[in-house]
Amino acid sequence: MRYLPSRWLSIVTAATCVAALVVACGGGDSRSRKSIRGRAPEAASTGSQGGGAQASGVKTIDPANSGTITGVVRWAGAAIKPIALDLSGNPDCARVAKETVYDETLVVNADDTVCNALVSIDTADVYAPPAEPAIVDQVGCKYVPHVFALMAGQSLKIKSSDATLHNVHYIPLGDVNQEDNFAMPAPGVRERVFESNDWIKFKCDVHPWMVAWCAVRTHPFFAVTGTDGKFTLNNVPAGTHKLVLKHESLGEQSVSITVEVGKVATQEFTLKK
Amino acid sequence: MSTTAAAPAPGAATHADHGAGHGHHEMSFLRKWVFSTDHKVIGLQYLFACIFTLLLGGLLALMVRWQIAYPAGAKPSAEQVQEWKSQGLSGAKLDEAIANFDGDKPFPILGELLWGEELSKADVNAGMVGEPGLFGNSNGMMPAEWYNVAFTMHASVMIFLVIIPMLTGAFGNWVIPLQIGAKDMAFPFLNGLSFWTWLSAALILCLSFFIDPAGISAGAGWTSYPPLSGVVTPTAGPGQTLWCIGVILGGTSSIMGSLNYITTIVNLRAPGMSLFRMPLTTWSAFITSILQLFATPVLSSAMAMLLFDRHMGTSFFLPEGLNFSGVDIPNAGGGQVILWQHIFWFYSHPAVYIMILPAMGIVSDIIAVWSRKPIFGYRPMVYSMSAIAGLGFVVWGHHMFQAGMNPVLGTTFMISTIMIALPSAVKVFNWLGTLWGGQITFSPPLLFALGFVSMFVIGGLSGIYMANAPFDIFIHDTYFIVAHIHYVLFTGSVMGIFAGIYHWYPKMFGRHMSDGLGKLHFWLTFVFMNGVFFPMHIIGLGGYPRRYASFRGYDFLAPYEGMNVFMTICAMALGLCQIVFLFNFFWSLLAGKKVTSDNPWHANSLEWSTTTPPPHGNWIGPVPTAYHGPYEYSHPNCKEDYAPQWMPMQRVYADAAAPATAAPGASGAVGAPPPAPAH
Amino acid sequence: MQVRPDGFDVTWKWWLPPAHSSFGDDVDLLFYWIFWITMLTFVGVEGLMLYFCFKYRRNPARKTIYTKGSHSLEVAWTVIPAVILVALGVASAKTWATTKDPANPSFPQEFQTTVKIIAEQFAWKVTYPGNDKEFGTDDDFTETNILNVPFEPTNADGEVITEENVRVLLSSKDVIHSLFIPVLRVKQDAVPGFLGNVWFDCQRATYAGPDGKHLTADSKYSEDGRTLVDWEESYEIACAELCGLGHSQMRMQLKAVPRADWEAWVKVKSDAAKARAAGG
Ligand code: HEM
Ligand SMILES: [Cu+2]
Ligand SMILES: [Cu+2]
Repeated sequence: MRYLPSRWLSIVTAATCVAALVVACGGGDSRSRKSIRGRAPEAASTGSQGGGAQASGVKTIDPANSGTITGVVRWAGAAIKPIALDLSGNPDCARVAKETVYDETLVVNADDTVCNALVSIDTADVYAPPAEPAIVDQVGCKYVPHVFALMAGQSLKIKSSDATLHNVHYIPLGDVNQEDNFAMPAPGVRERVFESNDWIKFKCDVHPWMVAWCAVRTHPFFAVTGTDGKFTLNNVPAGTHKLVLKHESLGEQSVSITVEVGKVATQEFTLKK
Repeated sequence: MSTTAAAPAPGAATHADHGAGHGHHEMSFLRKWVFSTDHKVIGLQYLFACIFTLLLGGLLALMVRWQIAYPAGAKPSAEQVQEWKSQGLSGAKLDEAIANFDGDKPFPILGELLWGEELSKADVNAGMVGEPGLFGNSNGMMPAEWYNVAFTMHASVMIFLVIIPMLTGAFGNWVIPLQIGAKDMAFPFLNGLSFWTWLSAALILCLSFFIDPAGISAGAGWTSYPPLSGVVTPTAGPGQTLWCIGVILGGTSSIMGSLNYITTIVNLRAPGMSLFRMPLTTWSAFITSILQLFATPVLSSAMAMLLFDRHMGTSFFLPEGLNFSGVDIPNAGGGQVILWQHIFWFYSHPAVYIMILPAMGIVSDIIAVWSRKPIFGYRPMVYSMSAIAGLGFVVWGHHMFQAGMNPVLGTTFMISTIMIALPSAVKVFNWLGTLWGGQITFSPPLLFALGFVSMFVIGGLSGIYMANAPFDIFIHDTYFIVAHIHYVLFTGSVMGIFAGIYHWYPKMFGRHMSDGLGKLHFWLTFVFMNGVFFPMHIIGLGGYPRRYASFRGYDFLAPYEGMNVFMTICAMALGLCQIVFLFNFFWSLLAGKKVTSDNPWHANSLEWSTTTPPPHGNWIGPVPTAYHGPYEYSHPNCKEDYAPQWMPMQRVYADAAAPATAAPGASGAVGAPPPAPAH
Repeated sequence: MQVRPDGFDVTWKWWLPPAHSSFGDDVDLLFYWIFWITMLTFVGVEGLMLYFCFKYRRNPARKTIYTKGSHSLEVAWTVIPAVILVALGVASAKTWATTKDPANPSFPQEFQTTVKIIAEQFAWKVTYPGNDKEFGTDDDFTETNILNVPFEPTNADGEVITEENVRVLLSSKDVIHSLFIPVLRVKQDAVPGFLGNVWFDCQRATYAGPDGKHLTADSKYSEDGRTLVDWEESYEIACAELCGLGHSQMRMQLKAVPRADWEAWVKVKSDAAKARAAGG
């Protein structure tokens, strides 16, 4: 038997390693934490005129040239009785939850307005994110707030105030931001930043009722309705905009609205099942 | 090798032609020590690489243990609360003190390096974020997702990068040709290729820690059951993919190695070295190689299928309707989850014997040498190893008792599993028989070999609990099985490895390791490993599930906190006392006592017949002839208490008592006519 | 004794937890048999080894015994353990069949209660068939991590008064999980794509009334039927198959209560589910 030159040995070895790496990275962008899972069909319907990231130039808010949009989201369906959750299967939660936890997929206020609806304008313009972070907390085995919005590039502080394990599992429905899933076994804070327009579902898999929805926008013209069902968008550039309402379980509505400088434009939405 | 006279012995031909081409030590350093094709160099390459991977695997183990003992979210102890009360705290003040109690203990040094600065509880409550570490920021504490990575990689490193390569790669390589009297392996180039393939597997597994920003390598356990491993998710990302590739490469290396060992043992035995004159180390390597050759391709194909499922849209293991956290998996459908377990365990059950048989062989040789006795029941030893290997292929279902197999299969696998305990028992009895009536010297190799025997008994007996399918309902996937694994693999195989190192070190390097340090190493290791692993039986009986990042929250696990802390302290001590070994090993390389004899232990097998360390080509001149079996210790007719295989018995008598009959035999030419080597 | 501030006794425990299912004692009995057999073997083998180590330590004055083995010994120590082990195997077959094999006569023929558990990362979704005891109807309801079942009353001699066999149809929607109920000696993997079939009975209720017996149905659940408020004690159920980062927190509570209480609870839940379904 003759010996193959050792050169071959090194070449073969190197080739194996390279091949392995290529295969490993071929399955997906190697540094990304993206999954190849299917996407829900309604994914990324907002920001459809191209993600903000591609738009040229960062705009700044010009109060002299803008107006305000306000309004209220009304409920027209049958009366909704809040569904209290039985936490006895999760004694830890029962312990940390100071008050009864209700199902939050549809929260109708006492005055028949709808809570937790996101209202925003649809634009491809990009504005600079604020320096102060947005905050979402896990407290009493709930995400608080249940629906929140922040700007692309703005830091999000994900807090846990509970002395029990939560895992933060966020699933962006758009294509750019990356899914992630990490545990928070004790009170603490993690920070994340999202890159582009999105509608992101936050879950705690240990406590399946723990869900929050996060809207990411490249601009600051958004609001989430509270216990009065009202929303206000300040400093909206004058002109005609598409005003979009989004609700986690009731879907999306949009209207065209014209904003005049220094004036307040009002818009009412009505939702039902 | 310095002579160019081609020895007639088989296997010498390879060396004759290249030996003739260049004389002594003309090979470049790279050729001689790096891209070597000499089985001894390759064996030592494995040995050194595995010492390094052992440290890596050990570190991961310590991190795993640390997390189990000190998961985040500790509550103040009753005494602490009492103390606060006695300091006058009460009501809201006391609640606040309890809320601000910081019981988190990051892993020493590494915790903060990897997972960021540890902040005080008050700072955390105030929403502050510390400096991030290499793998992100979780207050210095290992996150649960990384805990899964830690134990997965611990097991993978230990199995694929330490025990298998150490036993088959390092000892198999170094010992086999020397023990059977071959000048090298049958396929020296393949041998080198096997090492480099293995090394690339090792590098890829190590690389998998750094491909994800949070250090998420494979985290689905060394068993990597799909769908957890079969779908790309944030916790089973590129790290998991690299893991599969690494395992395939490791397997490929095993296949190359085992082909080589089988061919070498079948074809290149020295004159006179019939199969039943082979020492048990070689026998075990032979049987292990056969196991490996048959089982490993199955693992590789399973891994390939898993890769296809992950990246190419197939669904071998993904059934209809899979939905992860509300998201449908597009390619799922038609697959079988349990299929993976069948394929995986069809490899991995034989693999657990791949991880113990060579150690059994090594230990057998060592016990014979150090108690100066022939192996008690040499043939039963061989048959029992063969029986283990054969039965090893029909017991895989015992890992799946609770997985939903047909219950009738469960009964079948229960019986076959029970049967496999028998050959193991036979081996233990034969080791005892070998010790019986011997002259036992408690050298480090023997201490480790005895450690192996006594601890393997525990591991084997705990196997019977789990082989019992109904009782396995309770202990399956609890710490009981972790105890079992570690009694067979750590206190078993790893002890066997240490025994082998202490035993062959003088032949490998021409220097002695320190005896005193060796004994110290043994006793510390022995005590602490039992401290780590024995309590696992107890918490397993309490139902403590394995692979739990935290026991917090479970009332039925709370009683085991103290025991967990105890085990972790023992584990840290166990880790630290390996420094004694490392020091002994490396220091002796440079400054150990030089060997004065080529056969310092007065052993019989052929590796002790050559010069020390053995030259390229193993013997200067022709290979020796095996005149009789390898275990002729304390033969009543010999003056010496050993009769080397390479000397005819008559000559041994002659040297000893010079009985008249053997007078002309001094030349060695008139030994018992050696049987022709079997082909 | 050591008690945590939250009142839990964390004294070290050294042994099996109590067994409350009808087959639990059979399983434990096997354990005891194996325990004593292995203990004897262990002491015998290790004792012999230590004795040999001492007796045959190096001593040039003593003559070494030269032997290569013994045929009869080999046969003896192969056959004797074989007989013991096979006997053990045969003795276990019945318990195995009782717990796992529906085709076997010792497997219960009738199930008084059936629930469906679909495991997911990292929770157990328990679906009860509701008042009509049929799955797939409007009055089915699903709870998270709550497994409430009727307990099986027994008399002082441990004989069953009324059978209360619970069947669990077990599956998973994502990865493999494993339903582990330590005090009932139950463990079965929840395998996606496969509907498993587990059964158990629980012979000790998770609460007792003032007289140590059962309470009336209406005293045990709160107004809106959300929580069995006073049913405070429960048995813990754990996930025993690695299922991801929340594996260690995948916990469920099992409550075994008198049938009347259980039915009252089911009625409240089931009525509410039906009302919700009707309301759109
Ligand atoms: C004496 C005979 C043995 C018997 C009867 C036996 C029996 C078993 C059984 C029944 C299991 C499965 C337990 C379960 O999953 O519930 C198991 C697991 C295991 N055994 Fe053994 N065993 C024996 C010897 C060995 C040896 C010699 C080794 C390795 C050197 C070994 C390594 C393992 C490993 C690594 C596992 C766990 C695999 C995993 O789930 O991660 N066993 N053994
Ligand atoms: Cu949670
Ligand atoms: Cu699980």
